[in-house]
Amino acid sequence: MSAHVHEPRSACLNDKHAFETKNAPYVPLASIPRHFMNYGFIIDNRKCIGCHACSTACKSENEVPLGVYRTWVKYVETGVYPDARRHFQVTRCNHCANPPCVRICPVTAMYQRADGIVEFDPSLCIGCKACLQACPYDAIYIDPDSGTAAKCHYCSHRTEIGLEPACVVVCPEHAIIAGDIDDPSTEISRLLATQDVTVRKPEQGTAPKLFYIDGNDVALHPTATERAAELYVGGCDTVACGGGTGAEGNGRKGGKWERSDAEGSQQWDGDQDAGSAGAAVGGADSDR
Amino acid sequence: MAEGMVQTVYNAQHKVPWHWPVPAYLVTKAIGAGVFMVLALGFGLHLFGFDRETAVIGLLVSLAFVAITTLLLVYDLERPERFFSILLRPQWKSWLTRGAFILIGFAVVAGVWWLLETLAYFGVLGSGLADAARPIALWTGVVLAGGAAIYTAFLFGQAEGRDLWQSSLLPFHLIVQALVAGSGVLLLMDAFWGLPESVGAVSLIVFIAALLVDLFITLVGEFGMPHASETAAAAAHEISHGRYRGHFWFGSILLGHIVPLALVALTVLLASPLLLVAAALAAITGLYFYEYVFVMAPQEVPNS
Repeated sequence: MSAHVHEPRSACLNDKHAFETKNAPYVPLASIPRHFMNYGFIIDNRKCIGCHACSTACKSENEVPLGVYRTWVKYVETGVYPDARRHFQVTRCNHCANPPCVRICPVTAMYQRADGIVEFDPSLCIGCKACLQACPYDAIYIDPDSGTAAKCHYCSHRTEIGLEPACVVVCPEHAIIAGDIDDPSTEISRLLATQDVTVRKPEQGTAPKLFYIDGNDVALHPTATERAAELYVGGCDTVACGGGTGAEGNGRKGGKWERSDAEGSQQWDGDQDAGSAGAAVGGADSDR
Repeated sequence: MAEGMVQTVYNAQHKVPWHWPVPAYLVTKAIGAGVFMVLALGFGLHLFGFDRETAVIGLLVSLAFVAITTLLLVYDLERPERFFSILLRPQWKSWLTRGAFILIGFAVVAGVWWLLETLAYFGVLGSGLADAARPIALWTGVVLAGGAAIYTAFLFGQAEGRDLWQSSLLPFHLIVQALVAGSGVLLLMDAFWGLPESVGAVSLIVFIAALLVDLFITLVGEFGMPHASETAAAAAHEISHGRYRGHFWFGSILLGHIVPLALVALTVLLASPLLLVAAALAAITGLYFYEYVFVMAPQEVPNS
Protein backbone atom coordinates (compact mmCIF):
# COMPACT_ATOMS: atom_id res chain seq x y z
CA MET A 1 0.00 0.00 0.00
CA SER A 2 1.44 3.32 -0.95
CA ALA A 3 0.93 5.39 2.11
CA HIS A 4 1.71 8.78 0.73
CA VAL A 5 -1.83 9.97 0.33
CA HIS A 6 -3.35 9.12 3.65
CA GLU A 7 -0.41 9.11 5.96
CA PRO A 8 -0.03 11.84 8.55
CA ARG A 9 2.37 14.31 7.10
CA SER A 10 3.57 16.09 10.20
CA ALA A 11 5.89 13.37 11.39
CA CYS A 12 7.87 13.18 8.23
CA LEU A 13 7.84 16.56 6.63
CA ASN A 14 11.05 18.20 5.73
CA ASP A 15 11.90 21.73 6.72
CA LYS A 16 10.13 23.24 3.76
CA HIS A 17 6.83 21.95 5.09
CA ALA A 18 7.46 22.24 8.78
CA PHE A 19 6.02 25.69 9.35
CA GLU A 20 2.75 24.54 7.85
CA THR A 21 2.22 21.51 10.01
CA LYS A 22 4.32 21.52 13.15
CA ASN A 23 1.36 21.94 15.50
CA ALA A 24 -0.96 19.52 13.78
CA PRO A 25 -0.97 15.80 14.60
CA TYR A 26 -2.69 14.94 11.36
CA VAL A 27 -2.75 16.87 8.12
CA PRO A 28 -5.09 15.66 5.41
CA LEU A 29 -3.53 15.75 2.01
CA ALA A 30 -6.15 18.10 0.68
CA SER A 31 -5.17 20.80 3.15
CA ILE A 32 -1.53 20.91 2.12
CA PRO A 33 -0.80 23.68 -0.34
CA ARG A 34 -0.40 22.11 -3.74
CA HIS A 35 2.75 23.98 -4.56
CA PHE A 36 4.50 21.79 -2.03
CA MET A 37 3.64 18.69 -4.01
CA ASN A 38 5.16 17.21 -7.10
CA TYR A 39 3.11 14.23 -8.14
CA GLY A 40 4.44 11.35 -10.17
CA PHE A 41 3.91 7.66 -10.84
CA ILE A 42 6.05 4.58 -10.62
CA ILE A 43 5.01 1.50 -12.56
CA ASP A 44 6.71 -1.52 -11.07
CA ASN A 45 7.00 -4.00 -13.92
CA ARG A 46 8.29 -6.65 -11.54
CA LYS A 47 4.80 -6.84 -10.13
CA CYS A 48 2.47 -6.01 -13.04
CA ILE A 49 0.47 -9.03 -14.21
CA GLY A 50 -1.20 -7.28 -17.15
CA CYS A 51 -4.70 -7.69 -15.75
CA HIS A 52 -6.05 -4.38 -17.13
CA ALA A 53 -7.67 -3.55 -13.81
CA CYS A 54 -6.08 -0.11 -14.00
CA SER A 55 -7.48 0.42 -17.50
CA THR A 56 -11.00 -0.50 -16.47
CA ALA A 57 -10.88 1.39 -13.18
CA CYS A 58 -9.81 4.50 -15.06
CA LYS A 59 -12.60 4.01 -17.59
CA SER A 60 -15.13 3.68 -14.82
CA GLU A 61 -13.83 6.45 -12.58
CA ASN A 62 -13.52 9.01 -15.35
CA GLU A 63 -16.39 7.82 -17.56
CA VAL A 64 -14.04 7.45 -20.50
CA PRO A 65 -16.00 6.72 -23.72
CA LEU A 66 -15.54 3.59 -25.80
CA GLY A 67 -12.62 3.62 -28.23
CA VAL A 68 -10.37 5.99 -26.29
CA TYR A 69 -8.09 5.35 -23.32
CA ARG A 70 -6.44 7.31 -20.55
CA THR A 71 -4.37 4.33 -19.49
CA TRP A 72 -3.87 0.94 -21.03
CA VAL A 73 -1.55 -2.05 -20.85
CA LYS A 74 0.73 -2.74 -23.79
CA TYR A 75 1.83 -6.32 -24.34
CA VAL A 76 5.15 -7.10 -26.00
CA GLU A 77 6.32 -10.66 -26.55
CA THR A 78 9.93 -11.68 -26.91
CA GLY A 79 11.57 -14.96 -27.68
CA VAL A 80 10.31 -18.09 -29.37
CA TYR A 81 8.30 -20.89 -27.77
CA PRO A 82 9.16 -22.46 -25.40
CA ASP A 83 11.55 -19.68 -24.46
CA ALA A 84 9.07 -16.85 -24.84
CA ARG A 85 8.10 -14.07 -22.49
CA ARG A 86 5.36 -11.48 -22.40
CA HIS A 87 6.21 -8.00 -21.10
CA PHE A 88 3.56 -5.62 -19.78
CA GLN A 89 3.76 -1.87 -19.86
CA VAL A 90 1.14 0.34 -18.29
CA THR A 91 0.99 3.36 -20.57
CA ARG A 92 -0.49 6.80 -19.88
CA CYS A 93 0.25 10.50 -19.55
CA ASN A 94 3.72 11.02 -18.08
CA HIS A 95 2.75 14.27 -16.32
CA CYS A 96 5.93 15.73 -17.72
CA ALA A 97 7.73 18.41 -15.76
CA ASN A 98 8.28 20.11 -19.11
CA PRO A 99 5.03 19.32 -20.92
CA PRO A 100 4.94 20.15 -24.64
CA CYS A 101 1.15 19.76 -24.68
CA VAL A 102 0.83 22.73 -22.33
CA ARG A 103 3.14 24.89 -24.42
CA ILE A 104 1.30 24.29 -27.66
CA CYS A 105 -2.25 24.69 -26.32
CA PRO A 106 -3.54 28.01 -27.65
CA VAL A 107 -6.17 28.59 -24.96
CA THR A 108 -4.72 27.21 -21.68
CA ALA A 109 -7.12 24.27 -21.80
CA MET A 110 -4.11 22.04 -21.14
CA TYR A 111 -2.21 23.30 -18.14
CA GLN A 112 0.22 22.30 -15.44
CA ARG A 113 -0.96 22.59 -11.88
CA ALA A 114 1.23 23.73 -9.04
CA ASP A 115 1.29 20.17 -7.73
CA GLY A 116 2.82 18.88 -10.97
CA ILE A 117 -0.31 17.31 -12.42
CA VAL A 118 -0.81 18.08 -16.10
CA GLU A 119 -4.53 18.79 -16.17
CA PHE A 120 -7.04 19.72 -18.87
CA ASP A 121 -10.17 21.84 -18.90
CA PRO A 122 -12.77 20.59 -21.39
CA SER A 123 -14.78 23.78 -21.01
CA LEU A 124 -11.95 25.73 -22.65
CA CYS A 125 -10.67 23.28 -25.26
CA ILE A 126 -11.35 24.24 -28.88
CA GLY A 127 -10.42 20.82 -30.26
CA CYS A 128 -7.47 21.96 -32.37
CA LYS A 129 -5.66 18.66 -31.63
CA ALA A 130 -2.30 20.39 -31.39
CA CYS A 131 -1.70 18.79 -27.98
CA LEU A 132 -2.09 15.37 -29.59
CA GLN A 133 0.68 16.31 -32.00
CA ALA A 134 2.86 17.68 -29.22
CA CYS A 135 2.67 14.64 -26.96
CA PRO A 136 5.52 12.21 -27.76
CA TYR A 137 3.70 9.46 -25.85
CA ASP A 138 0.28 9.21 -27.55
CA ALA A 139 -1.28 9.97 -24.20
CA ILE A 140 -3.93 12.45 -25.33
CA TYR A 141 -7.11 11.78 -27.26
CA ILE A 142 -10.17 13.66 -28.44
CA ASP A 143 -13.21 12.73 -26.41
CA PRO A 144 -15.78 11.59 -28.98
CA ASP A 145 -18.63 12.91 -26.85
CA SER A 146 -17.35 16.38 -26.07
CA GLY A 147 -14.95 16.95 -28.98
CA THR A 148 -12.29 18.11 -26.55
CA ALA A 149 -8.86 16.82 -25.57
CA ALA A 150 -8.59 14.48 -22.61
CA LYS A 151 -6.04 12.23 -20.92
CA CYS A 152 -4.96 10.88 -17.55
CA HIS A 153 -5.27 13.72 -15.05
CA TYR A 154 -3.95 11.80 -12.08
CA CYS A 155 -7.55 11.51 -10.86
CA SER A 156 -7.11 15.04 -9.58
CA HIS A 157 -10.71 15.07 -8.36
CA ARG A 158 -9.77 12.21 -6.02
CA THR A 159 -6.32 13.46 -5.15
CA GLU A 160 -7.71 16.81 -4.02
CA ILE A 161 -9.81 15.12 -1.34
CA GLY A 162 -7.07 12.85 -0.12
CA LEU A 163 -7.76 9.78 -2.22
CA GLU A 164 -5.38 7.94 -4.48
CA PRO A 165 -5.92 7.67 -8.24
CA ALA A 166 -8.37 4.91 -9.14
CA CYS A 167 -5.73 2.84 -10.91
CA VAL A 168 -3.57 2.79 -7.78
CA VAL A 169 -6.42 1.66 -5.57
CA VAL A 170 -7.55 -1.10 -7.88
CA CYS A 171 -4.17 -2.62 -8.76
CA PRO A 172 -4.06 -6.06 -7.11
CA GLU A 173 -0.29 -6.21 -7.18
CA HIS A 174 0.57 -2.73 -5.95
CA ALA A 175 2.41 -2.23 -9.20
CA ILE A 176 1.33 1.40 -9.52
CA ILE A 177 2.73 3.77 -6.94
CA ALA A 178 1.59 7.37 -6.88
CA GLY A 179 2.73 10.22 -4.73
CA ASP A 180 4.87 13.25 -4.12
CA ILE A 181 8.28 12.59 -5.62
CA ASP A 182 9.79 15.56 -3.77
CA ASP A 183 8.81 14.31 -0.33
CA PRO A 184 11.49 11.90 0.89
CA SER A 185 9.04 10.17 3.20
CA THR A 186 6.76 8.87 0.46
CA GLU A 187 6.98 5.38 -0.95
CA ILE A 188 7.46 6.69 -4.47
CA SER A 189 10.32 8.85 -3.35
CA ARG A 190 11.98 5.98 -1.51
CA LEU A 191 11.62 3.74 -4.55
CA LEU A 192 13.09 6.42 -6.80
CA ALA A 193 16.03 6.67 -4.44
CA THR A 194 16.70 2.94 -4.25
CA GLN A 195 15.60 1.38 -7.55
CA ASP A 196 16.82 1.68 -11.09
CA VAL A 197 14.11 3.37 -13.06
CA THR A 198 13.68 4.41 -16.64
CA VAL A 199 11.29 6.66 -18.56
CA ARG A 200 9.88 6.73 -22.06
CA LYS A 201 11.78 8.82 -24.62
CA PRO A 202 14.08 10.74 -22.26
CA GLU A 203 15.70 12.31 -25.34
CA GLN A 204 12.58 14.41 -25.88
CA GLY A 205 13.52 16.58 -22.92
CA THR A 206 10.02 16.47 -21.46
CA ALA A 207 11.19 15.22 -18.05
CA PRO A 208 8.52 12.54 -17.60
CA LYS A 209 7.35 11.88 -14.05
CA LEU A 210 6.14 8.38 -14.80
CA PHE A 211 8.98 6.02 -13.99
CA TYR A 212 9.25 2.32 -14.78
CA ILE A 213 11.02 -0.18 -12.59
CA ASP A 214 12.31 -3.00 -14.75
CA GLY A 215 11.21 -1.18 -17.89
CA ASN A 216 11.62 -3.25 -21.01
CA ASP A 217 13.48 -1.64 -23.90
CA VAL A 218 11.30 -2.99 -26.67
CA ALA A 219 8.13 -2.05 -24.81
CA LEU A 220 9.43 1.44 -24.14
CA HIS A 221 10.35 2.06 -27.79
CA PRO A 222 7.25 2.05 -29.98
CA THR A 223 9.14 1.58 -33.23
CA ALA A 224 11.18 -1.33 -31.96
CA THR A 225 8.69 -4.08 -32.63
CA GLU A 226 6.64 -5.74 -35.26
CA ARG A 227 2.95 -5.16 -34.68
CA ALA A 228 0.05 -7.53 -35.00
CA ALA A 229 -2.54 -4.87 -35.67
CA GLU A 230 -5.56 -7.13 -35.65
CA LEU A 231 -5.08 -7.57 -31.92
CA TYR A 232 -5.06 -3.87 -31.22
CA VAL A 233 -7.72 -2.11 -29.30
CA GLY A 234 -9.42 0.65 -31.20
CA GLY A 235 -11.20 1.58 -34.38
CA CYS A 236 -9.62 1.36 -37.79
CA ASP A 237 -9.20 5.10 -38.01
CA THR A 238 -5.89 4.56 -36.37
CA VAL A 239 -2.19 4.49 -36.94
CA ALA A 240 -2.07 0.71 -36.87
CA CYS A 241 -4.88 0.33 -39.34
CA GLY A 242 -3.50 2.86 -41.77
CA GLY A 243 -5.29 6.06 -41.00
CA GLY A 244 -4.08 7.95 -44.03
CA THR A 245 -6.24 8.48 -47.04
CA GLY A 246 -8.71 5.77 -46.22
CA ALA A 247 -8.37 4.53 -49.75
CA GLU A 248 -6.50 1.41 -48.72
CA GLY A 249 -9.34 0.15 -46.61
CA ASN A 250 -8.47 -2.30 -43.93
CA GLY A 251 -5.37 -3.63 -45.58
CA ARG A 252 -2.64 -1.31 -44.57
CA LYS A 253 0.00 -0.79 -47.21
CA GLY A 254 3.03 0.25 -45.32
CA GLY A 255 6.06 -0.69 -43.36
CA LYS A 256 6.85 -2.12 -40.01
CA TRP A 257 9.75 -2.15 -37.67
CA GLU A 258 11.21 -5.51 -36.98
CA ARG A 259 14.24 -7.11 -35.47
CA SER A 260 16.50 -8.34 -38.18
CA ASP A 261 18.96 -10.43 -36.26
CA ALA A 262 19.61 -12.09 -32.97
CA GLU A 263 21.67 -9.12 -31.74
CA GLY A 264 18.59 -7.03 -31.86
CA SER A 265 19.50 -4.57 -34.57
CA GLN A 266 16.49 -3.04 -36.22
CA GLN A 267 15.64 -2.34 -39.77
CA TRP A 268 12.85 -0.43 -41.37
CA ASP A 269 10.98 -2.58 -43.80
CA GLY A 270 9.01 0.11 -45.51
CA ASP A 271 7.55 -1.93 -48.30
CA GLN A 272 5.91 -4.65 -46.30
CA ASP A 273 2.21 -5.06 -46.68
CA ALA A 274 0.58 -5.72 -43.36
CA GLY A 275 -2.18 -7.47 -45.20
CA SER A 276 -5.44 -7.69 -43.37
CA ALA A 277 -4.32 -5.62 -40.46
CA GLY A 278 -7.22 -4.31 -38.49
CA ALA A 279 -9.81 -6.31 -40.35
CA ALA A 280 -11.48 -7.35 -37.15
CA VAL A 281 -11.86 -3.97 -35.58
CA GLY A 282 -14.16 -2.02 -37.83
CA GLY A 283 -14.22 0.04 -40.96
CA ALA A 284 -11.50 2.33 -42.16
CA ASP A 285 -12.49 5.93 -42.56
CA SER A 286 -9.70 8.14 -41.54
CA ASP A 287 -10.51 11.09 -43.75
CA ARG A 288 -13.38 13.35 -43.13
CA MET B 1 15.62 -15.15 -37.38
CA ALA B 2 12.53 -16.84 -36.05
CA GLU B 3 9.23 -15.18 -36.78
CA GLY B 4 7.78 -13.33 -33.84
CA MET B 5 11.06 -12.86 -32.01
CA VAL B 6 9.91 -9.47 -30.75
CA GLN B 7 6.41 -8.24 -31.34
CA THR B 8 3.81 -5.94 -29.87
CA VAL B 9 0.70 -8.05 -29.56
CA TYR B 10 -1.67 -5.80 -27.68
CA ASN B 11 -1.86 -2.05 -27.61
CA ALA B 12 -4.24 0.86 -27.87
CA GLN B 13 -4.05 2.76 -31.10
CA HIS B 14 -4.74 6.36 -31.83
CA LYS B 15 -6.52 8.26 -34.53
CA VAL B 16 -4.57 10.43 -36.91
CA PRO B 17 -5.52 13.90 -35.67
CA TRP B 18 -4.93 16.10 -38.71
CA HIS B 19 -6.18 15.28 -42.20
CA TRP B 20 -6.62 17.11 -45.53
CA PRO B 21 -7.69 20.50 -44.11
CA VAL B 22 -4.20 21.06 -42.67
CA PRO B 23 -2.25 20.55 -45.92
CA ALA B 24 -4.98 22.52 -47.70
CA TYR B 25 -4.54 25.34 -45.20
CA LEU B 26 -0.79 25.30 -45.82
CA VAL B 27 -1.38 25.76 -49.56
CA THR B 28 -3.98 28.53 -49.25
CA LYS B 29 -1.80 30.32 -46.70
CA ALA B 30 1.17 30.03 -49.04
CA ILE B 31 -0.89 31.58 -51.84
CA GLY B 32 -2.24 34.39 -49.66
CA ALA B 33 1.19 35.28 -48.31
CA GLY B 34 3.03 34.60 -51.56
CA VAL B 35 0.90 36.81 -53.83
CA PHE B 36 1.33 39.66 -51.37
CA MET B 37 5.09 39.13 -51.03
CA VAL B 38 5.78 39.02 -54.76
CA LEU B 39 3.64 42.10 -55.48
CA ALA B 40 4.82 44.11 -52.48
CA LEU B 41 8.47 43.30 -53.00
CA GLY B 42 8.11 44.03 -56.71
CA PHE B 43 6.55 47.43 -55.99
CA GLY B 44 8.83 48.19 -53.06
CA LEU B 45 12.09 47.21 -54.73
CA HIS B 46 10.98 48.76 -58.04
CA LEU B 47 11.25 45.45 -59.85
CA PHE B 48 8.15 46.67 -61.66
CA GLY B 49 6.30 49.94 -61.59
CA PHE B 50 3.32 50.47 -59.32
CA ASP B 51 0.02 49.69 -61.00
CA ARG B 52 -3.11 50.38 -58.98
CA GLU B 53 -5.30 47.89 -60.81
CA THR B 54 -2.76 45.12 -60.25
CA ALA B 55 -2.53 46.08 -56.58
CA VAL B 56 -6.32 46.05 -56.15
CA ILE B 57 -6.77 42.67 -57.83
CA GLY B 58 -3.66 41.11 -56.29
CA LEU B 59 -4.48 42.24 -52.76
CA LEU B 60 -8.05 41.00 -53.16
CA VAL B 61 -6.78 37.57 -54.22
CA SER B 62 -4.36 37.52 -51.31
CA LEU B 63 -7.10 38.46 -48.86
CA ALA B 64 -9.45 35.86 -50.33
CA PHE B 65 -6.90 33.10 -49.74
CA VAL B 66 -6.20 34.31 -46.21
CA ALA B 67 -9.95 34.12 -45.61
CA ILE B 68 -10.06 30.56 -46.99
CA THR B 69 -7.08 29.74 -44.75
CA THR B 70 -9.02 30.96 -41.73
CA LEU B 71 -12.08 28.97 -42.74
CA LEU B 72 -10.00 25.80 -43.07
CA LEU B 73 -8.45 26.39 -39.66
CA VAL B 74 -11.85 26.81 -38.06
CA TYR B 75 -13.28 23.85 -39.96
CA ASP B 76 -10.57 21.60 -38.62
CA LEU B 77 -11.47 22.36 -35.01
CA GLU B 78 -13.54 19.81 -33.14
CA ARG B 79 -15.29 22.72 -31.43
CA PRO B 80 -15.33 25.42 -34.11
CA GLU B 81 -17.83 27.54 -32.17
CA ARG B 82 -15.06 28.17 -29.64
CA PHE B 83 -12.67 29.60 -32.22
CA PHE B 84 -12.75 33.06 -30.66
CA SER B 85 -11.24 31.64 -27.48
CA ILE B 86 -7.88 31.94 -29.19
CA LEU B 87 -8.38 35.69 -29.33
CA LEU B 88 -10.15 36.11 -26.02
CA ARG B 89 -7.91 34.01 -23.77
CA PRO B 90 -4.71 33.50 -25.71
CA GLN B 91 -1.82 31.38 -24.44
CA TRP B 92 1.05 33.33 -25.88
CA LYS B 93 3.65 30.59 -25.88
CA SER B 94 1.61 28.65 -28.43
CA TRP B 95 2.46 29.25 -32.06
CA LEU B 96 -1.18 28.55 -32.85
CA THR B 97 -2.02 31.71 -30.93
CA ARG B 98 0.88 33.67 -32.31
CA GLY B 99 0.03 32.50 -35.82
CA ALA B 100 -3.60 33.51 -35.43
CA PHE B 101 -2.57 37.03 -34.45
CA ILE B 102 0.00 37.20 -37.25
CA LEU B 103 -2.70 36.19 -39.75
CA ILE B 104 -5.06 38.79 -38.33
CA GLY B 105 -2.37 41.45 -38.46
CA PHE B 106 -1.53 40.54 -42.03
CA ALA B 107 -5.20 40.59 -43.05
CA VAL B 108 -5.74 43.98 -41.41
CA VAL B 109 -2.73 45.60 -43.09
CA ALA B 110 -3.48 44.03 -46.49
CA GLY B 111 -7.17 44.87 -46.07
CA VAL B 112 -6.57 48.54 -45.24
CA TRP B 113 -4.11 48.87 -48.12
CA TRP B 114 -6.56 47.20 -50.49
CA LEU B 115 -9.37 49.47 -49.32
CA LEU B 116 -7.35 52.63 -49.84
CA GLU B 117 -6.17 51.56 -53.30
CA THR B 118 -9.69 50.44 -54.28
CA LEU B 119 -11.27 53.70 -53.15
CA ALA B 120 -8.59 55.59 -55.06
CA TYR B 121 -9.07 53.37 -58.12
CA PHE B 122 -12.78 54.12 -58.27
CA GLY B 123 -12.24 57.81 -57.54
CA VAL B 124 -14.08 57.74 -54.23
CA LEU B 125 -10.96 58.92 -52.45
CA GLY B 126 -8.10 60.98 -53.80
CA SER B 127 -4.93 59.02 -54.48
CA GLY B 128 -2.97 61.11 -51.96
CA LEU B 129 -3.93 59.02 -48.94
CA ALA B 130 -3.27 55.75 -50.74
CA ASP B 131 0.09 57.03 -51.99
CA ALA B 132 1.07 58.16 -48.50
CA ALA B 133 0.02 54.94 -46.82
CA ARG B 134 1.51 52.65 -49.44
CA PRO B 135 5.14 52.44 -48.25
CA ILE B 136 4.03 51.74 -44.68
CA ALA B 137 1.43 49.16 -45.68
CA LEU B 138 3.76 47.58 -48.19
CA TRP B 139 6.74 47.00 -45.91
CA THR B 140 4.68 46.21 -42.82
CA GLY B 141 2.71 43.80 -44.96
CA VAL B 142 5.83 42.11 -46.29
CA VAL B 143 7.00 41.39 -42.75
CA LEU B 144 3.58 40.10 -41.72
CA ALA B 145 3.19 38.05 -44.90
CA GLY B 146 6.56 36.45 -44.21
CA GLY B 147 5.42 35.76 -40.66
CA ALA B 148 2.17 34.24 -41.94
CA ALA B 149 4.13 32.01 -44.29
CA ILE B 150 6.63 30.69 -41.74
CA TYR B 151 4.85 30.63 -38.39
CA THR B 152 3.65 27.10 -39.13
CA ALA B 153 7.28 25.96 -39.03
CA PHE B 154 7.44 27.04 -35.40
CA LEU B 155 4.05 25.46 -34.68
CA PHE B 156 5.30 22.20 -36.16
CA GLY B 157 8.43 22.64 -34.07
CA GLN B 158 6.25 22.65 -30.96
CA ALA B 159 4.63 19.39 -32.09
CA GLU B 160 7.25 17.30 -30.34
CA GLY B 161 5.44 14.07 -31.08
CA ARG B 162 6.27 14.39 -34.80
CA ASP B 163 10.01 14.51 -35.19
CA LEU B 164 10.02 15.01 -38.95
CA TRP B 165 8.21 18.31 -38.51
CA GLN B 166 11.01 19.67 -36.37
CA SER B 167 13.13 20.58 -39.34
CA SER B 168 15.35 23.63 -39.10
CA LEU B 169 14.90 24.02 -42.86
CA LEU B 170 11.17 24.47 -42.52
CA PRO B 171 10.92 28.28 -42.10
CA PHE B 172 13.00 28.80 -45.24
CA HIS B 173 11.13 26.03 -47.03
CA LEU B 174 7.76 27.63 -46.26
CA ILE B 175 8.94 31.00 -47.59
CA VAL B 176 10.07 29.36 -50.82
CA GLN B 177 6.78 27.48 -51.10
CA ALA B 178 4.92 30.77 -50.63
CA LEU B 179 6.94 32.30 -53.47
CA VAL B 180 6.14 29.31 -55.72
CA ALA B 181 2.43 29.52 -54.93
CA GLY B 182 2.26 33.32 -55.03
CA SER B 183 4.11 33.71 -58.32
CA GLY B 184 2.10 30.80 -59.76
CA VAL B 185 -1.18 32.52 -58.94
CA LEU B 186 0.14 35.77 -60.41
CA LEU B 187 0.92 33.86 -63.62
CA LEU B 188 -2.70 32.64 -63.62
CA MET B 189 -3.93 36.18 -63.06
CA ASP B 190 -1.71 37.37 -65.87
CA ALA B 191 -3.20 34.79 -68.24
CA PHE B 192 -6.82 35.58 -67.38
CA TRP B 193 -6.62 39.26 -66.37
CA GLY B 194 -3.66 40.59 -68.24
CA LEU B 195 -1.29 42.09 -65.69
CA PRO B 196 1.37 44.57 -66.82
CA GLU B 197 4.10 42.84 -68.78
CA SER B 198 6.80 43.56 -66.21
CA VAL B 199 4.72 41.99 -63.44
CA GLY B 200 4.27 38.84 -65.49
CA ALA B 201 7.97 38.70 -66.32
CA VAL B 202 9.09 39.10 -62.71
CA SER B 203 6.50 36.54 -61.58
CA LEU B 204 7.84 34.05 -64.09
CA ILE B 205 11.43 34.55 -62.90
CA VAL B 206 10.37 34.16 -59.26
CA PHE B 207 8.33 31.08 -60.18
CA ILE B 208 11.27 29.35 -61.88
CA ALA B 209 13.81 30.27 -59.23
CA ALA B 210 11.53 29.30 -56.34
CA LEU B 211 10.66 25.98 -57.97
CA LEU B 212 14.34 25.09 -58.39
CA VAL B 213 15.18 26.09 -54.82
CA ASP B 214 12.15 24.20 -53.52
CA LEU B 215 13.20 21.09 -55.41
CA PHE B 216 16.69 21.36 -53.94
CA ILE B 217 15.43 21.86 -50.39
CA THR B 218 13.03 18.96 -50.71
CA LEU B 219 15.35 16.38 -52.22
CA VAL B 220 18.69 17.38 -50.77
CA GLY B 221 17.65 19.03 -47.53
CA GLU B 222 14.50 17.39 -46.18
CA PHE B 223 15.05 13.90 -47.57
CA GLY B 224 18.72 13.73 -48.56
CA MET B 225 20.10 14.45 -45.10
CA PRO B 226 20.03 11.75 -42.40
CA HIS B 227 17.38 12.30 -39.74
CA ALA B 228 18.22 12.77 -36.11
CA SER B 229 15.66 10.36 -34.67
CA GLU B 230 14.28 7.00 -35.73
CA THR B 231 10.71 8.31 -35.80
CA ALA B 232 11.72 11.12 -38.15
CA ALA B 233 13.59 8.60 -40.30
CA ALA B 234 10.58 6.29 -40.31
CA ALA B 235 8.27 9.11 -41.41
CA ALA B 236 10.69 10.19 -44.14
CA HIS B 237 10.93 6.59 -45.29
CA GLU B 238 7.14 6.34 -45.49
CA ILE B 239 7.20 9.39 -47.74
CA SER B 240 10.03 8.43 -50.04
CA HIS B 241 9.67 4.63 -50.09
CA GLY B 242 6.51 3.71 -48.19
CA ARG B 243 2.81 4.19 -48.58
CA TYR B 244 3.18 7.86 -49.60
CA ARG B 245 5.83 7.33 -52.25
CA GLY B 246 3.30 7.79 -55.06
CA HIS B 247 2.04 11.07 -53.62
CA PHE B 248 5.62 12.22 -53.15
CA TRP B 249 7.36 11.18 -56.35
CA PHE B 250 4.49 11.56 -58.82
CA GLY B 251 2.49 14.24 -57.03
CA SER B 252 5.10 16.49 -55.50
CA ILE B 253 8.31 15.94 -57.45
CA LEU B 254 7.02 15.12 -60.93
CA LEU B 255 3.76 17.07 -61.09
CA GLY B 256 4.82 19.82 -58.71
CA HIS B 257 8.33 20.52 -59.99
CA ILE B 258 9.47 18.67 -63.11
CA VAL B 259 6.28 19.21 -65.12
CA PRO B 260 6.02 22.96 -64.39
CA LEU B 261 9.68 23.50 -65.20
CA ALA B 262 9.29 21.54 -68.43
CA LEU B 263 6.18 23.51 -69.35
CA VAL B 264 7.98 26.78 -68.71
CA ALA B 265 10.80 25.60 -70.96
CA LEU B 266 8.27 24.69 -73.64
CA THR B 267 6.78 28.18 -73.39
CA VAL B 268 10.03 29.57 -74.78
CA LEU B 269 9.53 27.42 -77.89
CA LEU B 270 5.77 27.59 -78.31
CA ALA B 271 4.98 30.98 -76.70
CA SER B 272 1.60 29.76 -75.50
CA PRO B 273 0.22 31.37 -72.31
CA LEU B 274 -1.80 28.22 -71.67
CA LEU B 275 1.44 26.39 -70.94
CA LEU B 276 2.16 28.83 -68.12
CA VAL B 277 -1.36 28.33 -66.81
CA ALA B 278 -0.78 24.58 -66.79
CA ALA B 279 2.62 25.06 -65.16
CA ALA B 280 1.17 27.19 -62.36
CA LEU B 281 -1.72 24.79 -61.75
CA ALA B 282 0.67 21.81 -61.69
CA ALA B 283 2.99 23.52 -59.22
CA ILE B 284 0.15 24.41 -56.85
CA THR B 285 -1.34 20.92 -57.10
CA GLY B 286 2.09 19.44 -56.48
CA LEU B 287 2.48 21.68 -53.46
CA TYR B 288 -0.70 20.19 -52.00
CA PHE B 289 0.67 16.69 -52.55
CA TYR B 290 3.86 17.62 -50.75
CA GLU B 291 2.03 19.19 -47.81
CA TYR B 292 -0.26 16.17 -47.64
CA VAL B 293 2.55 13.66 -47.26
CA PHE B 294 4.50 15.94 -44.95
CA VAL B 295 1.49 16.33 -42.65
CA MET B 296 0.23 12.75 -42.79
CA ALA B 297 3.32 10.53 -42.69
CA PRO B 298 4.74 11.64 -39.33
CA GLN B 299 1.33 11.10 -37.72
CA GLU B 300 1.40 7.45 -38.76
CA VAL B 301 4.56 6.62 -36.86
CA PRO B 302 3.48 5.17 -33.50
CA ASN B 303 4.41 6.99 -30.32
CA SER B 304 3.35 4.30 -27.88
